[in-house]
Amino acid sequence: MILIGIGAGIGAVIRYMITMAGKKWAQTFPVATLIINTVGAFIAGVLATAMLPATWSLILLTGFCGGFTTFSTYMTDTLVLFREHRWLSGCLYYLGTAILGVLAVLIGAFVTRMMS
Amino acid sequence: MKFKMNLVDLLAVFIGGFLGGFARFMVDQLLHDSVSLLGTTTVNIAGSFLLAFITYGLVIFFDVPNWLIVGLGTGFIGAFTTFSTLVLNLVQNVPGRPDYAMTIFALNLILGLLAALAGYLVATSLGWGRKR
Repeated sequence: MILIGIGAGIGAVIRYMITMAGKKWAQTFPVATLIINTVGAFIAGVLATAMLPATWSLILLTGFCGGFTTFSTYMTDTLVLFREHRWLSGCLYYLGTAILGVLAVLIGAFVTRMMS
Repeated sequence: MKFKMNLVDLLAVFIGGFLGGFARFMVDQLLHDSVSLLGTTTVNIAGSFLLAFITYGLVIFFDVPNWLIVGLGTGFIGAFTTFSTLVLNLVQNVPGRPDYAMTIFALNLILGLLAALAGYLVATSLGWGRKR
């Protein structure tokens, strides 16, 4: 159980670093969080298909992927875009993250099935 | 504004993430998330409210050190909520029970945004009371 926390903590630290880097080169659109959530969904698709032992599934899926990706920032970023009346960017981000996330899981699962 | 990454902030994010991930696991266990999908839904909606509340309330109206902001917001709430499990739950449950899986997914997106809006409104109304 402590290992779930360690996985989530490492995931959060990597997310923090990517977000900080993202703020330097993309200041108007939350690109970093979009990339993090899409990549995290892809990794989750791979791990869920790879049939890991239960312990590793908890550490990597529930822990690392869960801590790396974030839903609260996704929602708050969307709210910020709408609040600034950037309706198009807001809708693109809101729906785009959801669609890319689902596609990423499917691609992750597909790639893993191809390789096994 | 220049962002400097220091060890204290990174440690705060790690500890926050540790506790957030652990708390999410507990909620998942309590609500039988693997079957009901309601654990992820609960943490996502609650976390969206809290993050907006912290971002617009705590940070703006109180003088809070940066390590506490990133530890609580990016670390704890960020890891408490999850996007990967949400989309994974959707993809895994659509073949068996498409209506339920899609309803839960839509509920997360709609209620999550409304919760963030509520967190923002509560924080700003508290701020008005304090400042004027």
